[in-house]
Amino acid sequence: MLQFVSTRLLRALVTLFIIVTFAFFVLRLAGDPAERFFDPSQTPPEVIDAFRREWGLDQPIWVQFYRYIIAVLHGDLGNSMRENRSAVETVFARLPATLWIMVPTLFLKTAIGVAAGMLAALYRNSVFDRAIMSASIFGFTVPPFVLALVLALVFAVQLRWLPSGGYATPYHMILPIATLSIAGAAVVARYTRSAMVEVLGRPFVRTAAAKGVRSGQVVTKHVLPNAAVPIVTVFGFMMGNVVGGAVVVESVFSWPGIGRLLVTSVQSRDLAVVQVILLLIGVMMVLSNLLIDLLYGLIDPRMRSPKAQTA
Amino acid sequence: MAIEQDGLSTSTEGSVFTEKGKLQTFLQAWPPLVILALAWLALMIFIAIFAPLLTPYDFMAVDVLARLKPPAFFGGAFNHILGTDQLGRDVLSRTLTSIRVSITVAICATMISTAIGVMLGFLAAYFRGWVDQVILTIVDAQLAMPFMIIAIAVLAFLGNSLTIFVMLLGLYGWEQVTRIARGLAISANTQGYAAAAREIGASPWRIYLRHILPNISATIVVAMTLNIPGVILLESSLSFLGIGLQPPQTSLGNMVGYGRDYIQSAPWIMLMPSAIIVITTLSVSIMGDWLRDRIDPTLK
Repeated sequence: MLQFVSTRLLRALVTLFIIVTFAFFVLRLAGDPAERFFDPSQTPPEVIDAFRREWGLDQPIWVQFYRYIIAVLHGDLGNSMRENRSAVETVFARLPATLWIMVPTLFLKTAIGVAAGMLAALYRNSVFDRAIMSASIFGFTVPPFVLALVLALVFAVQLRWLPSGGYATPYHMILPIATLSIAGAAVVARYTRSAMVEVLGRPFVRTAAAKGVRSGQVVTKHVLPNAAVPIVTVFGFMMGNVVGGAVVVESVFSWPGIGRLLVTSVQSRDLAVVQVILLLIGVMMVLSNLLIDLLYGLIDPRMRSPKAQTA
Repeated sequence: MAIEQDGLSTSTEGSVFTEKGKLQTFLQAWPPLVILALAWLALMIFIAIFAPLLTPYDFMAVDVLARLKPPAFFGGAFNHILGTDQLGRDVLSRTLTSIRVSITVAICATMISTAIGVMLGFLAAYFRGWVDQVILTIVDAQLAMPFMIIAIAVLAFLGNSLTIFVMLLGLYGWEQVTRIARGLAISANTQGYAAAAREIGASPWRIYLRHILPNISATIVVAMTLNIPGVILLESSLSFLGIGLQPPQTSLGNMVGYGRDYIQSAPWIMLMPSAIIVITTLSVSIMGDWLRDRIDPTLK
């Protein structure tokens, strides 16, 4: 078990390092922020030079990278070039707004998706199953911005039941949560169904039913634990995506979260903020993957052996 | 029971049974939904190729006197069947041009990601050892990061030329192809034909490109097809956010993006391209699943 945990930890660290490196190189090599920030024909060169010196942009790229890694390790991620405060502060100020819609969404889509997927698997090939799976395909293929706009068109523009955007009241949360939950539940339902169908076909399920275990117990005691691994995988991915998963939906509903901050910072080339967001999303992803990996070990003892890890 | 007897009695009447059987086998191989999907995709490709000949107006032609005109059957006139937008540009012409752009971008991007994926997969399979490990680690890192976020960051920092955009989208899904190509190449290496080619003295290039690639191409094509809906959704999402294709260039997502400002007064600007995105991704998914079941049921 110790070896299992340590290899997973090591892999998480390597992934994190790749993400940090990627974030740094792409953003720095892509262009000179000084030129984007000032109009070179209007600004005296001394100002641009001073700007470059202040942000360390006059150093060779590998020096910048080395300094960057050291700074990251010290938790110093630079200042936002637009708002005159640290980039970390800027990003974390937006975090609650994103969590307000993403956390309820995470639980809602998991609950709906798992329930629908289970029912579809238990009544396989029934009308019910087909209805759920068709709905799920739609949830898959309709892009979030189309779904968001259609919901806004119906509930905000036509029926006028809900506000179409903003951050003032709890009512403003309903449409973003609904959009994200519908799309997410479709994915969860599909995974749950296929995982359940596979387990339902195994001999031990038939044995349990044959020896007289009640059907409810067969599902909760025998089928669900065995179908849990793929479902937990999807849940882990969605959990890692809690911070960055609402970029489009936040834009549609003018929700002042991380996603919108990312889009606006990218448009104004606010390097430090973009890096912090990339790192935050990367850390969330890596952490939840790690958590899920460890959960696998708990759910399924077979995963603990070193052989299974390479598979 | 009644049904079974029915079946038996018809089977004794030879001709009727075979007629029905033929129709049934045909429908089994070509379900109506698949035929619809294929027909839609054929139409989209036709539009993508011939869009400049089909558009009644230039997609950039501005007509200030005919701004925000509704579609023909909703109170508008027939000279703008799908209505016009806030600058009086013909929505039909813009939609057709957008289809051309979006489809072309999606196909080019998928080809790039397939090429990258196959190349890396083959490299990993040929060298194994540390090369393999490095490639697998990068694949893992890519899987750990939502591509949309990477794309947003890269795009805005690299600027917005069409070439960069297509190349960036060409990175979408490479990790899936890499994994598939690597796995298939490793198992193909153990098979007789690859060994035979090696014994004759064929170079690794020749073995991989002339022998292994054709043998695994069916699976790769399926993986490509399944990659396309993702690219279309990604492209339209980015263009929707205003950081994908830039005006005056048009794409389906771009139309939805500016159409949303007129959601109250002129919903037709965004509804038409939205519907086309949905139907197209749906059709490609249906076709991909069908191809997969037909060509390679093991790939799930």
